[in-house]
Amino acid sequence: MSDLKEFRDAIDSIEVTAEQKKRMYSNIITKAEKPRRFSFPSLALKLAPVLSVCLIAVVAVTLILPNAFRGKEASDNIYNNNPTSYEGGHAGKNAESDKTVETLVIDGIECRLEIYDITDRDINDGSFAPNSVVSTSAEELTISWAEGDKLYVLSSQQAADEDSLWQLKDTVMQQLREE
Amino acid sequence: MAVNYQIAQQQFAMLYERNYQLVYRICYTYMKNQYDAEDCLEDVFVKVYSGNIEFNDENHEKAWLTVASINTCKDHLKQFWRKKVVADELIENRATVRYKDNYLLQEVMNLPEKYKDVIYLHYYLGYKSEEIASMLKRTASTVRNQLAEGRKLLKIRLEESEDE
Repeated sequence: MSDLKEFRDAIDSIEVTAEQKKRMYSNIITKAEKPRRFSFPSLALKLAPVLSVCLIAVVAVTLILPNAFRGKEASDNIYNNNPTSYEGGHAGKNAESDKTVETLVIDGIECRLEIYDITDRDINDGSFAPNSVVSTSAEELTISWAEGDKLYVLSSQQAADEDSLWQLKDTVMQQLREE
Repeated sequence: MAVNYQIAQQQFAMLYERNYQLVYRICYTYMKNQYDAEDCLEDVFVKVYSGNIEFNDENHEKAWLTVASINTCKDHLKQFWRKKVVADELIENRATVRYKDNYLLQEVMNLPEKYKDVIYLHYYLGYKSEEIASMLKRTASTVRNQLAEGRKLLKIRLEESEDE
């Protein structure tokens, strides 16, 4: 490096004045003895792991858990006749005690028939909707309908589709009338 | 306790006296302006003061301060807000004139970091490649290669600027 001297001279020419030297020393002592404060970036870095865990917890609480409970609630409602949910169940019936459950095998298809009494209260308070409803889930097909003062819910895990379950309904009703 | 404190302050004052020029030159060379150089120097000495660092001898002290100065300057240069301040306000300050006047120094400091550090340590501070290797946590052969490549690159840049 032929220009080495020039390079060294250039750096050597960088001088600190007496006033600068004094000022920097006093700044160093002040900075060193001042209680350490957190700057925003360093504070953020320190808190990042905690904040991430909190964020995950918030996401879990607000998004995942309610859905999980809703799913459980919906499935509970199908069998417990909770009037707050109409999903997959039949029109709301309050009393578990006035339910009749029968297991039937019609044309080789096993199904479950639930019969409820429809009271005036159910009709008046709007918790019973007389239209027929269908619920399909991966495991079970359910249909329900009202006739007279009864509500019928027919479920089967073996029925091929909704139409075949409606056909079973006709057979079921015919048998009931004959009885 | 007060006596110990006084001794510590005295020792620090002596250490500052021995090294402020060295640290300031490194900081000024990297930061290219007086204000940032002063900031960096203060940070380096605050680390020594607050960290209660013990040095084996003056060579160890000098080597530690050299590496700490380079690293502090790099940290400052990485700060996003600094880039804008330099661009807007400091680039034309009086202190940079001397720096800008020296073309060779400017070219050395515009080299990529890996070359700039080794060239500065070797050609200005006179460290051998083995010493630089231990200071910068690189192997001696890497340092030698980087010195050779840095020289080559510097030569090309100087020739290009002469042609212009």
